[in-house]
Amino acid sequence: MRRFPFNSSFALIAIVCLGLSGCKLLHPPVISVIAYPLLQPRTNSIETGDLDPILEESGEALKRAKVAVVRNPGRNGWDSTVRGKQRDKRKDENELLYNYLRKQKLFGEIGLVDRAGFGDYDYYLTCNTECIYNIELDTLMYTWNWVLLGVGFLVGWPYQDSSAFYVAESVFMQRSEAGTETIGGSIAVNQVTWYGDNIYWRPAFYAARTLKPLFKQITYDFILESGVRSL
Amino acid sequence: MKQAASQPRLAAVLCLLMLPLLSAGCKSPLEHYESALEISNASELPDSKAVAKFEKELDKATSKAGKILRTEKGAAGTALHDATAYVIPLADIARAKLYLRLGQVREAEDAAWKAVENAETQLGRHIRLLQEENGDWDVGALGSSVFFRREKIRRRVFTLLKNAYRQAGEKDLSALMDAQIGFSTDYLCSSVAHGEEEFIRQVENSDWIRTYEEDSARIGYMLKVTLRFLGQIVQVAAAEMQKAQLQQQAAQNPNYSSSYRRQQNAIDRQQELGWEKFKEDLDKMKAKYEATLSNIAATFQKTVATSLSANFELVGFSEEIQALDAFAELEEKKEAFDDYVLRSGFDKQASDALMDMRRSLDDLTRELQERRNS
Repeated sequence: MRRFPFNSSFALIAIVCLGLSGCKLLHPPVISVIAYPLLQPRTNSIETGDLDPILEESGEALKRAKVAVVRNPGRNGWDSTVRGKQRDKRKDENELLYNYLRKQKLFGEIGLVDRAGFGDYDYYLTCNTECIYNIELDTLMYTWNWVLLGVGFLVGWPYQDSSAFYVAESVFMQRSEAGTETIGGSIAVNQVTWYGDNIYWRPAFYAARTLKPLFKQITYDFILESGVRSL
Repeated sequence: MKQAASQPRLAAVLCLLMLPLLSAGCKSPLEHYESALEISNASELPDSKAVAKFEKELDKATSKAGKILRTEKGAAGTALHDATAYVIPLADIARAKLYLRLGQVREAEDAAWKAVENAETQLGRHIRLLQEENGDWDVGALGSSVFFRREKIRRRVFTLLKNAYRQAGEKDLSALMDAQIGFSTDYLCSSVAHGEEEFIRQVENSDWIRTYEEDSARIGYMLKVTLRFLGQIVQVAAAEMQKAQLQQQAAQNPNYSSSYRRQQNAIDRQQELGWEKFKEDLDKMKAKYEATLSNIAATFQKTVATSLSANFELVGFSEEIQALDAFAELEEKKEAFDDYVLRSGFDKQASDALMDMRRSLDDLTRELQERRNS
């Protein structure tokens, strides 16, 4: 699984190009912010099934469905800090799931509610996502930066790899005569590895883009497990 | 000639053929789990051969995860522990799901309860390993702080069973599953679970930052030792060259021998001193490195203790909860705990006090539940 950190060469090329073009934004954090998110390689372990045949078969039924995503109460302001320093900014994953579903345009109506049963919706889904992350020092690159008398560190040369293990668990509910009833759920796991980052740039572990594969799996399971295809 | 040219090609072909075999042997527990999911998620119902393959993949996933969990002892494996431990209950859930697809409800129930049991025993086990590593530092209370991870497994399991009971028309069991799901949902959305997740994140963050800082210190130390060693080699080589030069001069000029001996002695003495200085420097570097490591350890032990205290600071209770009898008791115990940690730091007594506080929190939860139920 271990790969050569190609992006260190990319970073060098990016720095040289910026320097040659006379760019005044050669401050290392600026270079890192510009170059690494664009160039850093990332891997996902999750492979979601193909939705296309389902959409071909029952796309019209899905368009009739009114689906709401239920917020996790109290999730706002739940950013992670270590020794007083903020490490991760985190939004409620249900808000991100709602945005994801809205952009997918799979269902007729998408809502975001505080509790299951609120509003005039056929189905309610809610998820709970967690990420266990870890960083590993890239011994070779770290030593190389050291040998360069710290120049490597100053220019933002990458010397660590980050990996994260995600667990997203969700519950699907349906409106019934008695209120709302649980009709199914999903559990999706994803192992993501980012090769080459450093103190100037760190992966956004809870960003919408990072959680997207999990949301895709949740949506896939929801369509298969609920009766939404036969509406 | 032709035979010689074909040999590298043959070797390349053999390597290509061997690659899948080698990569199959190096699969991670998660990769085995995902291979099993591919079989169980196929649109057609799996036959007995596919089920056997599915079981084999899951067995490999759990045995490999178990092996990692047994070997990754202590703080070094803390951040990755639960990521590996998750695979074990997930494999049980995958089994339960497949058995339900095959209509084997009894087997599915067994697999579901196994998932709950495995989540209980495996998730958060790393905290107990930390306790073993730091004999004088009782972290028993921290073991309870992964409920939010276990509850996710429970909710998934009960959702699976609920769906099966619902389809089978088992109303009582279905209602019971609803109660379990409701309980897990309430817990996962509660501020207590949020506080716990924040807390465990701090422990894990501290752990990987500690590992990272220790690795950085190790690399710096190794590099300094290497550079010092190279410097010593250069010094010895220079002295040897000087000695060779003197020897040459002495051979050319016989009157020079007494001066040569004096100079050679001086060089030898300098070399001896150089070696002594080298050993002294190595000892100093090692002492400095060890001091850095112990400083890192002390800093991070303090970080964990601070986050423990902060954990309960994060928990905000509603006015309704604050009006309950058990809340006053909890407040009292919390204050006593905070005072103790401030005065004496985090030790066994603090850990016991924390567990006591946790029990008060459980009492509070029960009181609220009873009030709601009545």
